[in-house]
Amino acid sequence: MNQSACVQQNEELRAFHDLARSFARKELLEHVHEHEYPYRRKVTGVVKMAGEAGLFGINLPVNWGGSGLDSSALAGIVEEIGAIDAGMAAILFTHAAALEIIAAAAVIDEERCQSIYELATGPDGTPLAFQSYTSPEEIEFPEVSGNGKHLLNGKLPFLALGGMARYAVAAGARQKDKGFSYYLIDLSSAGVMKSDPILTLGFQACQAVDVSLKDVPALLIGTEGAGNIYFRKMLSALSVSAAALSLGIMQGCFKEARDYACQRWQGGRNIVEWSGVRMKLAEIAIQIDVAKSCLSGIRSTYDTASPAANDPAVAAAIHISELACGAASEGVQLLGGNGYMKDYGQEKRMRDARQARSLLGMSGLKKMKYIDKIIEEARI
Amino acid sequence: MGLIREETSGDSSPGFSFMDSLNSLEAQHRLPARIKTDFHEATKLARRFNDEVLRPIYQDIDRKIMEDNEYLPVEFIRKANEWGLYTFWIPKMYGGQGMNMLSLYPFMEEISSVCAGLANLIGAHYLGVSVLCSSCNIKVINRILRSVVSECNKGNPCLISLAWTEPDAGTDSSEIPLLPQAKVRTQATKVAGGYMVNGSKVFISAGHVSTWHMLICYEDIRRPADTLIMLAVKNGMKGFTFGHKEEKMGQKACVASELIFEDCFVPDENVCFSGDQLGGLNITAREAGMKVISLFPPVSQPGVGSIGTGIARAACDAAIRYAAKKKIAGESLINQEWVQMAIADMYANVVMARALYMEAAYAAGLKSMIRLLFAKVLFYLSLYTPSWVFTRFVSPLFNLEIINRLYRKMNFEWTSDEDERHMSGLGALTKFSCTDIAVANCAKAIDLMGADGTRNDAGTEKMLRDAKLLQIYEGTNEVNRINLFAHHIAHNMPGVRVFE
Repeated sequence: MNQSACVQQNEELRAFHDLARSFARKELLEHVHEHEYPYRRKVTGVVKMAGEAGLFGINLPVNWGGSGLDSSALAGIVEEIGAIDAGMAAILFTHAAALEIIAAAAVIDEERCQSIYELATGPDGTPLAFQSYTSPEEIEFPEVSGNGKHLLNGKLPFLALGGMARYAVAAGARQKDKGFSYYLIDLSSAGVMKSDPILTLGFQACQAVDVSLKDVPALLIGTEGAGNIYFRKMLSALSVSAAALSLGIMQGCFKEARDYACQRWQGGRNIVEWSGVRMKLAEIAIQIDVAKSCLSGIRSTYDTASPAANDPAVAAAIHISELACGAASEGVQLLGGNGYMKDYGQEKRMRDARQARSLLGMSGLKKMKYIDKIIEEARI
Repeated sequence: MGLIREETSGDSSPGFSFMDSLNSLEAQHRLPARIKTDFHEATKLARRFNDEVLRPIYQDIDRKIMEDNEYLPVEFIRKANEWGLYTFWIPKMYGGQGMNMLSLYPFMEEISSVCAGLANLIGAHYLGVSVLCSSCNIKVINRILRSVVSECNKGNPCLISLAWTEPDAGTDSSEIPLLPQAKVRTQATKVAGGYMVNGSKVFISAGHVSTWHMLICYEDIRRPADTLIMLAVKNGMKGFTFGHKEEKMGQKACVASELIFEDCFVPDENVCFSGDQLGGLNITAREAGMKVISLFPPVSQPGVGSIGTGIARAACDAAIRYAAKKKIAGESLINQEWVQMAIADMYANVVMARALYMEAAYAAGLKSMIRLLFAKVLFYLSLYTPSWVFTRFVSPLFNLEIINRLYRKMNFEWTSDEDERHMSGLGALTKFSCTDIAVANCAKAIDLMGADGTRNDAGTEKMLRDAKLLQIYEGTNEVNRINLFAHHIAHNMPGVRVFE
């Protein structure tokens, strides 16, 4: 990328960050708890506003009507939103993950994938549903049948955003031993049965549902049997956003804990003057700075580095999500009893941080996959 | 480490005293052998209660309260009362069923393994009972506990809560070294025939569903440490009202209440403790007040530890069941060594937590304010003496001033500083260790189960929400760490300052 293009992109990026920050402060800050169970029907309105603000097209190619920014740009926006309302950030993340699957398939057949995209993000403009909490290893795929068409039968457990989306990007397999494929499903089709939104620990705004499919027609995305390739590409692209979401939670948590500690009076002084409190704040601050450096390093090499076997973005997502769980739990402790109450933001952050840990699959499995790749490479 | 180092006195290095951490050795010959049977009976009772009462309702109650924070699980409380659970551990001499109080801990572990929130609707009541007992005002204790038993027996659950925390004084009010500078606001002013109370209390476990409230407040809010007073406030007293119910992350079934006192008159007969009641004792009002608030944590904190252990166990159990059922790429998850190691860690955590709270339980039986109940002669006498004998012959004695004074002398003056130090440190250690383990096991279970662990219907997400509160109430775990340091490490290190 030449210098002027680089400057232009940086400016564009900054503009999106500002947009995300202002959107978060204006539309989310005061309403965070209204997006949670049992009030979460109010989410639909804010999702619509996010769509109108262009937050659902960050990682889309320009010729598809998106902003054409890369996944690291998306990560910055997810981080800004995540610092205020991680549930909303999870909505952006889930939609972006589904888009990345379509975009990954577009390498082979761009025209068809663009038409699928246009269909999926049609008139009602709701984000796409996707199983963003699980990796393909963890789930059983619906069976695909039909000659020349694709009819799906089976279950789609834990479909994030399934409670509000019209379309879903979902995996299915015609024959188990030949790999899985991704399909676009219209969730309003006959044969689609959705559960009530699952009550989850965190990300309650992101309304996940369990879905049963009976002879549901679907559009194949990309090549049949290439689902794992698309998933890996998406994992590589979106892991940086998963890490950024956790980082956003940590930053929100630190800010609230710091402000509270500076104001809360116990033991004859503000509690920030107690060294035990300072140490906890220091640990969270250090974790945030380490996570920031880590993500910044990944973002700066994102365009140029050839994908390594041991993708650092995946490592960052695993590690930073773990840090965020610890930080958010300590964030509750720093506020004492108040931290446990819904009057403050820490209890939600603790729940969201734990939910974020499951983005794109079980952390244990992600770790095993990670080391598998490293060992494979060493053997070669 | 130096656990077997010879006990020395005046050693200036931090102690790893054998007896600071191991009480079972002494307990096995000093405590009545019968307590083992009682533990089994309490556990059996808890398992039956879990199957017949808790399991069918706990998830619905949790969700109901998410939907309507005003909902109170009064039906559960009525059921628990029908099972006799609000009088089971009240000593016979006070009219209760007289079950060995140490068996409450394994009982709490068992029921907390299903729902810590509902379990705390029983645990919080016994916290209230132990706070009332820590006043060492045997006349008032006897009257209130007998009224509790009488109401419960009539089918009206009669719970006791502890009302202590204030909006601006959480840690401050419960830590003796911090109390002198606490910004407390609940004041009891002496008036003819009693006290007039003004102020408010927050985060009071089971407040809205309790009948009695052990109110800890102050005659002079500028000198809280010197003027601490404990009053028994009953629902319906003029000037006492309930405020809002906190919206908590977990343990939703156990309401956290605001209690408001506006010119609330509390008659003299309901003064459990005040500095004016120390006639005949060689102790200042400040010393006695500090005794009162340090007597009950060694009894209540192992209870919190047992709740933590119950949750830790449930999380471990959920992870095992999940891993045994879950297939990853056709292979059973439980056959992976990394999973087996993670489960082994969780299992070990449960065993360590249980061992720790039981050590604290033994120490409570040997050295705390309930130790008399475990003196073998008194224990068996109480066990085999019919309740009516206590009612007719023993209860009237509790009204005698001399008995009251003797009882207070025993607890305020004849308790060794060494025992007190030991108990305080062990209570703190048990509380923060078992509850940290609870949170750690929940986190491990959810990690292992991935997104499935975050579903409400899987149970583990509720366990984590519930467990987190354990790290906060009865002193944050950070404060309890400092208490452990103060009582077991710094006590023989001159020059080391704590809470300064």
